[in-house]
Amino acid sequence: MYNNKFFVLLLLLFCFNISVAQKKVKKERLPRRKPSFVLQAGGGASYYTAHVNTSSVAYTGTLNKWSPAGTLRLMWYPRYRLRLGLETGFTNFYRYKVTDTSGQGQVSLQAIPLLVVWSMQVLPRLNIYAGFGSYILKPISIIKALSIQETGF
Amino acid sequence: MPDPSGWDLFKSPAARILPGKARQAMEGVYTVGNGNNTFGDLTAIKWSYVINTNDSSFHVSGFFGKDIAYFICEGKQLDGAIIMNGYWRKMVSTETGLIRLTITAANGANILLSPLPAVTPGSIVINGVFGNGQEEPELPVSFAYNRPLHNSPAGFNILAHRSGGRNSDLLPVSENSVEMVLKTAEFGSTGIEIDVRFTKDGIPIIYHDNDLNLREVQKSGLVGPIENYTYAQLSAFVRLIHGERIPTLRQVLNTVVYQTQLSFVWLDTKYIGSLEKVQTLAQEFKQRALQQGRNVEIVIGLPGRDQINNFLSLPDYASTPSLCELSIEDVQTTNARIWAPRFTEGTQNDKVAAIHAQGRKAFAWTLDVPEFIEQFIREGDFDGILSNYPSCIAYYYYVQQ
Repeated sequence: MYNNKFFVLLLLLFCFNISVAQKKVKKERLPRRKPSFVLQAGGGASYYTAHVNTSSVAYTGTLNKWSPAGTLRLMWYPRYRLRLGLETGFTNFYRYKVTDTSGQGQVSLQAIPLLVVWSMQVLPRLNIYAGFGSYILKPISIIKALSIQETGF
Repeated sequence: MPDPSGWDLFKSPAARILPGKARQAMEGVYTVGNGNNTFGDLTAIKWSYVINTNDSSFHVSGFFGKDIAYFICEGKQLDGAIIMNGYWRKMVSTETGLIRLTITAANGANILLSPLPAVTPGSIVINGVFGNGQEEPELPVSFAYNRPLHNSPAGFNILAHRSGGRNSDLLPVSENSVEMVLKTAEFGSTGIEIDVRFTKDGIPIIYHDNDLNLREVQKSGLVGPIENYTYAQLSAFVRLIHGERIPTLRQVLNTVVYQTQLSFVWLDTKYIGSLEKVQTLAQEFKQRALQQGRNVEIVIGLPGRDQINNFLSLPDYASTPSLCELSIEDVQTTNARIWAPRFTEGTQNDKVAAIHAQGRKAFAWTLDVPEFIEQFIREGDFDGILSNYPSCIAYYYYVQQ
């Protein structure tokens, strides 16, 4: 249930970050601030870039790789430039519908990232972030069987 | 697999199906003349068939001793000659290509197409060409009839792992699929081993691993343990590597009994739980085969202690055909008809003799190295061997003198 791919794409999801750290940059250039924890929330859109084979299953042309995404990040701001944090969130990799001899249904592959994140202030108002980790994958599938496939088993 | 459909002569409307007697008489061990650098010195040629809805389809296979090579062709008669069209493959690599073979009337087709074909050494010479990949075949190849195929009175089981071979061997159909069951005799198999699991709603299915993964299935959105999904979910959303559906045990046994010439099915129980449904299906299809005039042996595999305990809890386990992979004592406890030790234990001829003395059979698994296969066939007394390369077992078994 874990996907160990490194998802750089995740960084793009934080374009709307409410970053308390940004406001404190100037303060940090003065007498050193006390270590603190900062909670950041973000949201945006995600796109699943990998290929999904649609040739064998009776897709109905409804493969959707776009999804809203939300993230939550807890950062530790020590006295130093390098900061450490944990990040999670929620997105949907892709979803599709089928109409098949065995029934009608839809699948949605949901994903929850669990990432370790670093950040560093490189300019007074510019921080860079990087991280790695895993995704917990949670498939949601609904099938409405059209017919009983087997007599008994 | 290269596409052999480009030989216009083979598509001629005048080309007709070969008589059964010609197919049977053609089977034998042939000496390889041209092409022996590629294929080795001998080939064992054998026909196989599957029964389709309205007719049967026949294939002739040649099994070689070099690099686990084989060819698989369709055959027809045309203007007094026999022509065969197909592809060759080496299992030790990805080498493959087209092959086209001909037996002219003077080279033995007149014998094979006669009402009572009588074949003698040298009386049949097969000439042809082979090539690499999809390129037009131009390299010469020839086979001359040497002797009949070896066949021991007790018979021998050439068993295909996962119904025909692994996905990693780049076969044209997926492991543990109905399509592989229909194809496996072309690789020389006389029986299959298949992996039984259960869906969430209690349907026995054929699938090897315990989870849905990209080794076995295409990306579908469903991940995790296969037992978390109902059969309807798997059937609608999941496809095996080559696009087939995950089959139920019923579908596979139905295919074996009604569409193939396979005579043995090893149900490898990959789950821990009641064996009652598996037992019921095995008994049902054993009876169906008998009604068809066929003797298909369907045995429940017992690979571990848990499966043995579940087997012993069946009401009539002692009369249920089973195959035990553990000790000879466990074979006796379960009254298993077959003892199947791992091949790494060696040929164990003394233990095999003891098993035979009890009226049971012994199979070895899973042999894939040609040298070991040759050793087990020459020096061992096993009644069957399980392999991912049934064509290799077929070669070493049939060319015995």
